[in-house]
Amino acid sequence: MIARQIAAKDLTLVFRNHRVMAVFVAVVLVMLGAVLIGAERTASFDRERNSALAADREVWLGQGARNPHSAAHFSRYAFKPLPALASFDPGTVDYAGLAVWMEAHRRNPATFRYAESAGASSTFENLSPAWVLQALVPLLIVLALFPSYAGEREDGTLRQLLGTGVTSDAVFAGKLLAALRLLLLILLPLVACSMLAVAFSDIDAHQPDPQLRTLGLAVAYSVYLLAFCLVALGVSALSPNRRSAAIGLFAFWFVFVVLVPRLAGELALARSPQPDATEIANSLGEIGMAFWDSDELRDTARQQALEKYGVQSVEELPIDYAAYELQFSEEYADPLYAEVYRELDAVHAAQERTLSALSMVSPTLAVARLSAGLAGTDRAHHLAFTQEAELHRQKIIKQMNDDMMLNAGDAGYGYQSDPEFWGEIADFHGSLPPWSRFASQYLWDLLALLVWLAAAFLFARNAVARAGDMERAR
Amino acid sequence: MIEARELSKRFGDTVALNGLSFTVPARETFCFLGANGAGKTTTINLFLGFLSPSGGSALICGKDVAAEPEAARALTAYIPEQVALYPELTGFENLRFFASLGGSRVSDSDLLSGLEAAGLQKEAVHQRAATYSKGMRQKVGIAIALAKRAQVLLLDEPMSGLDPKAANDFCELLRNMNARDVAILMVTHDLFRAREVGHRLGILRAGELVEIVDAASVSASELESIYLAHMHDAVSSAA
Repeated sequence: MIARQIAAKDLTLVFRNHRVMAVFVAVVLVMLGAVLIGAERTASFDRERNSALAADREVWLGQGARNPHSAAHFSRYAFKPLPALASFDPGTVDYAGLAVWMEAHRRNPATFRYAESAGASSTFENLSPAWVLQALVPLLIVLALFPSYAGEREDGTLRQLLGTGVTSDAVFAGKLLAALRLLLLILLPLVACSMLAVAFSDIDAHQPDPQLRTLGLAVAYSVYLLAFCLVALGVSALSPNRRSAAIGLFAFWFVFVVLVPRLAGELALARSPQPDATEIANSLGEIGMAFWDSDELRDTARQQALEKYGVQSVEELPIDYAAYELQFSEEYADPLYAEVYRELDAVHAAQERTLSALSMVSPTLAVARLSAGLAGTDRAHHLAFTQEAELHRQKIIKQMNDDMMLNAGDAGYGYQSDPEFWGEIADFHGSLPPWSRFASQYLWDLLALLVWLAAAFLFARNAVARAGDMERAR
Repeated sequence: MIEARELSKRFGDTVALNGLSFTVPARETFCFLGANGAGKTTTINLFLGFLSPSGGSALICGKDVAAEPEAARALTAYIPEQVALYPELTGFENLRFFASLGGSRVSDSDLLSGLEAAGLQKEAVHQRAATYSKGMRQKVGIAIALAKRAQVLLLDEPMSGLDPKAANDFCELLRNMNARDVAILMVTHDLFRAREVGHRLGILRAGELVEIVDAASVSASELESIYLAHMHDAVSSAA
């Protein structure tokens, strides 16, 4: 009852503060803008993806009679499916590449990175609801709550309040309730607008567990923002006046929301440097040519073919040997490609481990990682896409090599597949994996958020109790 | 009723109050007089439960403040030297808020009546408290005590800085509070206002209650002489 009265009074004070209300309206507008921009951007990616997929299919099906190996070099694209939640948190979408070119003799990295091709407009397109929640809403919390205790102390009302017989715990409960109601007011427009955006979204790719992921995002951001509210109340309670509370909280916001995540990224790169892209490209090229440059490997392939078919010479083989060699070279190269990507992935995983470890230092880092993971736009989901694309590449290249092997006769590279055959080569329809596949990677970040929440609660509780004692002893 | 029984308070080696005993029945105003550091505000803080006594007890209507702080505070209203109000709220909103903390529901019309009884001008009731003078704030403080239906009123230098008219009005308000069966404990430096409003006057010196004077039995100049004599003793003994 008393907590509700204190909360109502605190909210009235916030609403009568024109500066806070101006920032509040600005943040809500920015947030709504971010939702609309995010929804349009993801829908635009999806339209472009569908359009590119249709064009790719049309060209593929319309290539006419052609040698299958030639077609395997021409080959096809695997377009990355984007989840609807990418409009909430684009994560690595702009940087990780949107398509993989699936060709023979080469496992290509994902390409079409939006960040490389975007112009000046990308500054605004990077505005996402997740970023607003991670950076701007904490700033609004700081602005709204820094006078919570410090202002009362400065005006003498805290002593007056305690003199009426209200306990420190009741004051704390009231102020926390006010902070929660304020949060709700900030978040309601975002949630409503996001729900509308998702409801009217015509994105093709569907995550198997959108409710679970959305709930996870709601929990993660609630914990994050609640921790901020508690820190704001605690710092305000320990500050002698509004000015020192504002300085302390803005410094906290700058260090933990801006500085630490930036330094963490630099530290992760310094500890696990990004491999040289040219070296990787050279390695992939060498693997692709390894079979053709090695007489020993070619002898092994020939020997294996002769043994398999129980003949003495290549001429006696019932299959096209050129196609056999092609498939042998693919199967030889596949594990070597996998090794190159495994090493690359190990570097990225090491970078992520550094970031994850540092998420204990900054709740922003923890919630940012968790948010991208839950939205399905993190590196782990991208990796799942590239691995699925690689399996599809191996499957369709084998399909084309088998066609040539079984049907070319003596024609070899002169063999041309029937135009109908191209229809048997399936399009790539990537699947969006369930959260359960990645959840274990984010336990540390979740733990970091919970530790922050618990620490912020204890800090605020002790600060408020101390502030009450100090005020009574004046 | 307000009662101190051998009430003592130490801050480290410093004795702030030493075995203070007195009683203030309903309908009476008891004023504490004394120099700075005599223990006047410490006494108020002990009755508010802001400090814990080192010895003895402070009782509000028979309830030990240290043992039953919430029950004691529910019966108490406190008016400091400067009544602190939320500057962004109007006088009425401040009153409604502080009255609501008591847990009892008071209708808006009763609150308005309280403000009127406290002497706040009608046109000021719905103005923001940021525009209030000290006298107007003290009136809101009295209205808060009325709304709370407090049986005990603790006042810490409530008339310091008030102009003579406002101080006179305030004294009248205190008399009205007495008429409502309220026991009042007021600490002040103002001997003349204390004599005007108080029934009994206690002189505190270095944490000890050295004399209790019946206000009606002394003139202003006699009171001043008594007070100065005690202060002179304090200076002599210190020397």
